[in-house]
Amino acid sequence: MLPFSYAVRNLFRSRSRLLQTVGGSALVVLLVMASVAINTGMTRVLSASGSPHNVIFIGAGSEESVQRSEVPDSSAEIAQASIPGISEKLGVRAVSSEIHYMNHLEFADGSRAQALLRGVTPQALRVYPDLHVIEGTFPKAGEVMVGRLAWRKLGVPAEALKLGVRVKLDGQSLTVSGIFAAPGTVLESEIWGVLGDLRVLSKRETVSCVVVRLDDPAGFPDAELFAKQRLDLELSTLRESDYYFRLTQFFQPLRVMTWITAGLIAAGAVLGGINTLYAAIAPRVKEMAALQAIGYGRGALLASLMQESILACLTGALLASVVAVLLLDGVTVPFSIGAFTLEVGPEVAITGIFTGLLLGVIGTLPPAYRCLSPPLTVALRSA
Amino acid sequence: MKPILALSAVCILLTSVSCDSKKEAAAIDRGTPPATQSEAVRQVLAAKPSGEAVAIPKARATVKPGDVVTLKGQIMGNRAPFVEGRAAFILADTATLTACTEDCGSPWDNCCDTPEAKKAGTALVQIVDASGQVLKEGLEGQGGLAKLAHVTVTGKVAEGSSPEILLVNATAISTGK
Repeated sequence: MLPFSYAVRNLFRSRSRLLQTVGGSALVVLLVMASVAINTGMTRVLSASGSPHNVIFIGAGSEESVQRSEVPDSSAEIAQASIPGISEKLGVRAVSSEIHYMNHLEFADGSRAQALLRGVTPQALRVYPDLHVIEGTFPKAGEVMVGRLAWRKLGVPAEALKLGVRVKLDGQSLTVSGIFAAPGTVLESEIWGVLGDLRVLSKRETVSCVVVRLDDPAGFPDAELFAKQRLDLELSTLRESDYYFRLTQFFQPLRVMTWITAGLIAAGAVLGGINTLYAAIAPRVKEMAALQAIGYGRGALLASLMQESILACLTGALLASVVAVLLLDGVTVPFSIGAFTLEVGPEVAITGIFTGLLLGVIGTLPPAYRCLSPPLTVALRSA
Repeated sequence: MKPILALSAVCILLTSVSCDSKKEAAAIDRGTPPATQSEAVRQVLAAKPSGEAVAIPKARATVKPGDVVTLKGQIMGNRAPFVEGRAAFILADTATLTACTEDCGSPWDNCCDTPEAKKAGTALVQIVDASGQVLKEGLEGQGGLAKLAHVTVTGKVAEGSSPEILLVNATAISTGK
């Protein structure tokens, strides 16, 4: 084997080529890390949004869209009295009638943005126990409370949704009475108002869904049995976790597009990187032949070339990791039903290192083949 | 050679990540529950329905809780006509409801019929224990009970039934037209 120091010294033969290799691999690794962070971030927020304890009763035939769903107003009361195993605290059962409504909000500066609004009663806080009002109060009539990431989802400054600010919905002025947190869920991007207000504003007599929290997720069949025993209510039963899982599937094309875009840019960068490695390795046919002549086998030479390339690409991966931690970690990305935070965690970091390693190995093979394949006599005479 | 190698690398990266979705899809498909048949279910499935079958829309209007009724129909009328983990299924009237067959992945949901027709032409058949509780046992796959299976049921009209809701506590179930 050639000494490792030989590979390290060769790296610095041409600093411009080294910079190109490191820069190219850093770009590819950064793109791959960003794609993994976006995909895992979106999946994480959608998975965390659905609790296995919660069951959603939705209008039969509207399983794909809560906003289109029509559920009789009386359903919550009937469900509350009929389903065993509903969570109960201080005599109040965790059953929440909700209206999900999407419309444009108008802000003080005249700008407009499409928001996801949820009309609820205070019982909603029992159904979503991880949701906490962190500033202000739960809304009363004429008020709304906003998720702490709603401003990011709506693309407005944080000040546009602070406490006491007035926003307009369908010409109706609403005051922000509170800000809530529901860590890691899409709820944080929503705006919650009073059920009665939303009923009037959305001009509907029914609710969109009824959400019930069970003590034990294994009680789901009882909820489903209730829906089938009350065929007159025309309800479909969904585990909340399944509902958000379906949304994850719905956003699959978006995630694939992220990968395709990253892949296309990465392909260009990979080709550029291979060219650089070609330029760095291919002219060394004579040098490799000389090393073969003094007794080093082709395997040892290939290993040395790979060491050079992997060192350069892993340096790029390290650089990309630093950039990812500084620029990507903690960034909030909005999407159609909410917002999620990018996390540069172990999964993303390992993918980055693996990509750097892969680039180093793959990038070396074609030029190494060209360099090491000619017969020794031919190689020694080459220019 | 060079571009092919480079693109292969990108493809390997892309496919290695997209495999996760298949695992997740498998997780949501809970499939048919294993058939561990209780004595109560075995007895109901072994018994022969008796009496003349009444159409479900007619039964809804005429029967009252406690009556014994025989119904004939098909297991359909809903995206999930069987209740997961409970001895109950939806029986639909074949004269007024038709399983959708054209390019339909779930013909048992009767998506071609109106909600009103579905409401009027369906009943819930359940098997209960001595205390009147629905048995904690899925029926799908037991004794030939499957989505779109033709079924004849004899049973007692359950408490809570009305012209809007028809619940039948089955005492005999047989499959086949």
